[in-house]
Amino acid sequence: MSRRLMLAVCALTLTPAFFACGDDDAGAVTGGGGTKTTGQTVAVSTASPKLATPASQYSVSVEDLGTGWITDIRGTFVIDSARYAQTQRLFTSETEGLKLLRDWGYQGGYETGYVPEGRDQSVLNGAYYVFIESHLFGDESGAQKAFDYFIQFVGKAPGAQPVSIAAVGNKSAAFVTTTGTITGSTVKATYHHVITRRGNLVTIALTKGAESFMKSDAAWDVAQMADEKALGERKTSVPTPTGDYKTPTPAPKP
Amino acid sequence: MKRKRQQPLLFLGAGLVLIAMGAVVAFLFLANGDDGVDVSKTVSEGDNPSKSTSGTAGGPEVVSNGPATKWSLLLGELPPNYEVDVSNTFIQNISTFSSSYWFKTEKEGTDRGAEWRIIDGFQTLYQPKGLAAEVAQGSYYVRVETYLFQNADGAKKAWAHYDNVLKSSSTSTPVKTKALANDSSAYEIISGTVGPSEIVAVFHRFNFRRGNTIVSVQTWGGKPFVNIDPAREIAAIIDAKLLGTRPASEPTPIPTPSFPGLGN
Repeated sequence: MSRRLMLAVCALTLTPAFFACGDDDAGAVTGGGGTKTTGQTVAVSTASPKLATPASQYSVSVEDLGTGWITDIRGTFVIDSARYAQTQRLFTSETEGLKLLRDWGYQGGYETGYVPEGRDQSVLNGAYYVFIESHLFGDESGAQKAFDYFIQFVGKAPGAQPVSIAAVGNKSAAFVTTTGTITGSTVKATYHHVITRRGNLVTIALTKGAESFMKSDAAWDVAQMADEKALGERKTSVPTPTGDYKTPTPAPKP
Repeated sequence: MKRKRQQPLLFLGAGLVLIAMGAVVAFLFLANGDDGVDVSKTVSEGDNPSKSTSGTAGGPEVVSNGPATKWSLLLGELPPNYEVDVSNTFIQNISTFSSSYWFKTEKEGTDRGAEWRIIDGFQTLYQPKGLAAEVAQGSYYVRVETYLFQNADGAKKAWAHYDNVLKSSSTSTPVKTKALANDSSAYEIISGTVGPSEIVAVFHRFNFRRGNTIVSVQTWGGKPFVNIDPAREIAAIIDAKLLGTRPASEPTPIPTPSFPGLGN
C-alpha cells in the first residue's frame, strides 16, 4: 500500500476511536436543534439533498479555517473506490472493501488536512491539527450504511469515548481518544472525531491537539462548515488536488 | 466561529504574549521586605498562602563579583521537564538595562545605571517542554533576572527605585511571604487564562537584594496550581549561592548563531 493511500484514510483509521452519537437513534440529539458543549443552541436543517460529485467541493478549505493554517499537501488527494477499498484496518480485505463500497454506491471521496502554523509548538499553546474526509454515495441509504459502518469502526477502537455534541447534518456522532504525546513533551494528545451524514454525503472531521486544551467544539466547527457547504449555505469550490503533485523536470535548454 | 478559525494563530501568539506579559506585567508588583522584616504583616495571604520558609532573612551584605550569570538558576536545578527559552536568555549590558522596564526612558536608565554603577546583568527564561499545555496541568514558566552593582550602596539605591516601579502598578497585589536576604518583596498579578483553557493564569514575582546583587524571580502558571512559593524557593537557592553556602557556576554559554555570508 502506498504511503498516499495509507494517508487517504488517516482521519478514520489513524486514531484508536471516537464517537458519541448525536443522531436520532442514540437520542442525544435529534434534527431541529441541539446544544454545543459551549451551550450555543444550533438549529439543524432536516434537508437531505442528493449531492453531485466531486466530493472535494464539500470539504473545508484553508480559507474556511481562517489564518494560521497550512495545508497538509501530502495529505490532500482525491479518493476512488479502488484506492479506498485497500484501506487497511477499515476493511478486512480489499475484496471486502470493494464489495461494501459497491453496496453503498460509493461515488468518490476527498481528504485533506491542515497544520497549525508553528506545528507542535503551537499545539502546546492551544492550536490543533485538522483532518477532514468527504465521501459521496449513490443515495441517502448508501450513505447511511457507510455512516453506520464508520461509527462501528471507530467505536470499537481502544480508548474511544463517546462525546455529547449538538446535532450536525442529518446524523452525527462524536468520539474522543487520548493517546500518545505531543512531540517534544509529555503532554498527551487528544483526538476528537465528528462524523456526519447529510443526504448522500458522509463527512469525517478529526482534530488533534493537547489534552489540556481540546474539546469537541473544534471538530464540530469543521463538520458544521462542511455541512453548510452541503446545504448550499456556504460557498463551495473544487480545490486543486495536491497529493499527486510532482515537481516538473526542467526541460533542457537547446 | 470566526474566533475558532483564527485560534491557531491566536494561540501561538497567546503563548508568546503571555510569556512577554510575564516580563512586562510581573514586575508591576512588588512589596518591600527590607532588612528581614516580614512582609506578611502588611499584606494578605490570599487563597493559596505561602508555606516557603527556606533561605536566610537578613544576614551579611555580601559583595559578589561577576559575571552575573554565576548568580542565576541553572537548568539542572529545575525538574527535568524544563528547557531554556534561548531567545529570552541573554547577558544584559548597559543598553539593554537602560531600555528595560525599570525606566521610563533610556536616558533615565543610562543616567541611573551610571549613578548606581551597574556592572553586569543576566536574564534567563525556563519553560516546561509542554509549554502552556503543561502549565494547564500544573507546571509553570520561570524567569530569573540578576543585576550586579559595584557595591551595596548602589544596589540599595537601585532596589529603592525598582521597588517603587513595581509598587506603582495598580494591578499587582502584595503576597505574604517570609522575607529573604537583605531586602525582599513579593507580588502577584492575576491575568488572562492559560492558553485557550478556562484556567485562570497568575504571575508571581519574588525579588530580593543581597549586598550588591538584585535578583528577581518570576513564575507564570495556573492559579489553582501555583502560588508564590516556587518563585521564593528559587530565590532562596540563588541567595544561598550569593552567601557561599551553595555551589555557584556559570551556565553553558548559548552558541551565537552564525549567518553564512555575513562575515561571521
